[in-house]
Amino acid sequence: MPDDYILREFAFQDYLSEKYIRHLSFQSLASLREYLVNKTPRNSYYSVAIYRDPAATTMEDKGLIGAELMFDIDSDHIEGCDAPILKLGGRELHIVTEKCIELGKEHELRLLDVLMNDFGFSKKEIRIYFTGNRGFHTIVRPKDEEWLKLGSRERREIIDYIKGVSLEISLILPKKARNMDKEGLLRSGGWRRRILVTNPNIKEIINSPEKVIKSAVVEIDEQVTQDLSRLIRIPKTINGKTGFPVSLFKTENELMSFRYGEQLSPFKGKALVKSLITTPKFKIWSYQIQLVKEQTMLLPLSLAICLGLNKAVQLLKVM
Amino acid sequence: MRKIPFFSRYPFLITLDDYLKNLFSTPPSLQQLIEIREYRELGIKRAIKALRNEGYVAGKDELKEVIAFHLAIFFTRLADPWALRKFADYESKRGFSQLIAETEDVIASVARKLKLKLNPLITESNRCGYRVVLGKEVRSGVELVECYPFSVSVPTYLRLTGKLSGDPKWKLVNRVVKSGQVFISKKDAARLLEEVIKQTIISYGERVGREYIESKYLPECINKVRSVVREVRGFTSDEEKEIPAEVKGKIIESLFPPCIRSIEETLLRGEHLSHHQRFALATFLLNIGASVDYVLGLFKHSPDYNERIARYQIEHLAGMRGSRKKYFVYSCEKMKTLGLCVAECGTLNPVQYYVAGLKKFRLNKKQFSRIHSSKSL
Repeated sequence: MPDDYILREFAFQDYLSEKYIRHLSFQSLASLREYLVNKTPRNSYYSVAIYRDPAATTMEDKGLIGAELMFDIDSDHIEGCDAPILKLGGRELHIVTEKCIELGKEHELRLLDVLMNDFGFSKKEIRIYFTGNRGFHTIVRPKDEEWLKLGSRERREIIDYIKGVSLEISLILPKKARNMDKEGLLRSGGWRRRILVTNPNIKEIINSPEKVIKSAVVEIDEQVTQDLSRLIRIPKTINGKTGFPVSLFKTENELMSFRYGEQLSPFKGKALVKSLITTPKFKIWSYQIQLVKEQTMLLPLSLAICLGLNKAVQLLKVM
Repeated sequence: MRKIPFFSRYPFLITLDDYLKNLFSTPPSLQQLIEIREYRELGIKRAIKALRNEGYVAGKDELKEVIAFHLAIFFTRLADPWALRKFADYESKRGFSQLIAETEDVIASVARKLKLKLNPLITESNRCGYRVVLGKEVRSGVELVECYPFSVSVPTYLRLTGKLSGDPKWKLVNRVVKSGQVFISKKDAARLLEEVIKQTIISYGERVGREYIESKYLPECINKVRSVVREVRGFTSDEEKEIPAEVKGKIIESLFPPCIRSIEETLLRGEHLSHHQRFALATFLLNIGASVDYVLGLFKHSPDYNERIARYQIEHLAGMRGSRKKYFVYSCEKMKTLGLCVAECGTLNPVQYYVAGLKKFRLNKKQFSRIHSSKSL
């Protein structure tokens, strides 16, 4: 948790009613832990914003001090990720594949490159999490407080920078390809560097700029970055859609060696479950499965928890 | 230009209090300064020149110029909110045109006084600053070099370019950004300073506006400024607030901003509107004076129209039900976020666009034939 957790708003989704409980604050980590153990929420969050009075119910009364920078990469929004949406009764579940998460990692590395080289943040200022479902959250706590005070409009400009929105090649590169000095442009920074890092072929840059820009864009969720009242998942809590925990990467190597799959679930063993719905055959993680209402079956506990959270099965017994 | 003393050229760099304290052991009060005809008249002259966009050339008497500048802020602040904004705009542009003729050292010094963290990159041995080699001229072999004598931090740059980023040149994405710094030319540094000068003058105005001054000359000074506001704009800000009698209770659809017109056209084609489109259209209409029945009449074109539900929702937005809070239309910024903005109008919200159109409408009553009475729908 960040050091200033007492200045953050906490929010939880109740396990059974699925209602959100907002505007909470905690004076100690022990009391937060106690809340989590006693209430076992479905989803647990804290605010990206730092408030004078985080427990107040209106934004005016909360007194915004500033907000960390937040970036969300949903791997299923990246071109090349083919993740079907599972329809489990009335619920939809986006189960991504290992390939999608690998694409997400590629974009996460591009984001890190921009944050460190262009915006000048150090590793210590950046936290990267696997969200427990589709992708990665990156939180920046800048030492320079001026960043924290940026409003939605300024954050929109940051999004445009990261996604290459309104980028005009004619404004950043000389007109004639044969005149360019690659080394000079690489050193100069900004999108010049980003383009040349991903595509050193200058002729291609001039002839098909859109294609080149696309290869350097980071697919971040625009709404998340510009929303100052956004909530972040509490690290190590369970994602209520999959049963996977939210995990922090301490180093870039940890991110690189991260592998998506059911082994992420902390729930080991097997469970006897009863199906609550009937579905056609579907694929989830490494399993092919079909549910028939009222039928009981033995499932790996990780899968049983995921399906149970989505009200597709009822857990009868953990084995 | 060099002969003009520093604060005559850049009077916004010092508060009147600080300037006078440096000169007098017992500085004169604002009230005493207004009593002096020479200062009072130069103050009015500066204000009027700014409102009329006429050139103002500062004299060599620094004391007189600094006092007149601050009196002009005081008079415009008391006369009309638009007058202060116009004065700040004019003086900041004037500041810009003077700054681009200055050396990098003077620009850096002005930035320091205005508390702008502008990092000078020029040294004795490096007169270019941050040097970027783009390439070489093929024939001559001469290097194509960009020189950036200054940099500002990314957040500072973003804060100052809020109103400039409509121009692709000012968008961060088209800038040289490295290690948290945006590299800028001398001219761009002067342009960013223009924004800071504008904010500084407005903040002086807000501060001085809270002072209570009793002077028999003050009403005359304020009236002179107000009369020039009326001459330039056709009305003063308090007159603007009153909806003209001939358009009261009537809605002029031809004055709707492009975003609202687009939503309205979608609705009139009988197409389904999203929640945000409905909210934007209804709150816009209610805030320009349309009746609930007028709004309801439009929503009849919606494919899922249900009079009972629609009436309840519109009355709720109008502050007639529930929390009794009247909702205002989304800002242009929010409309952009929601993907509802279709043009760059230069306004803060769609209602402002309509109100500005109304003012012009008053001057050109030929459009009157296009009025639709709110009761007719």
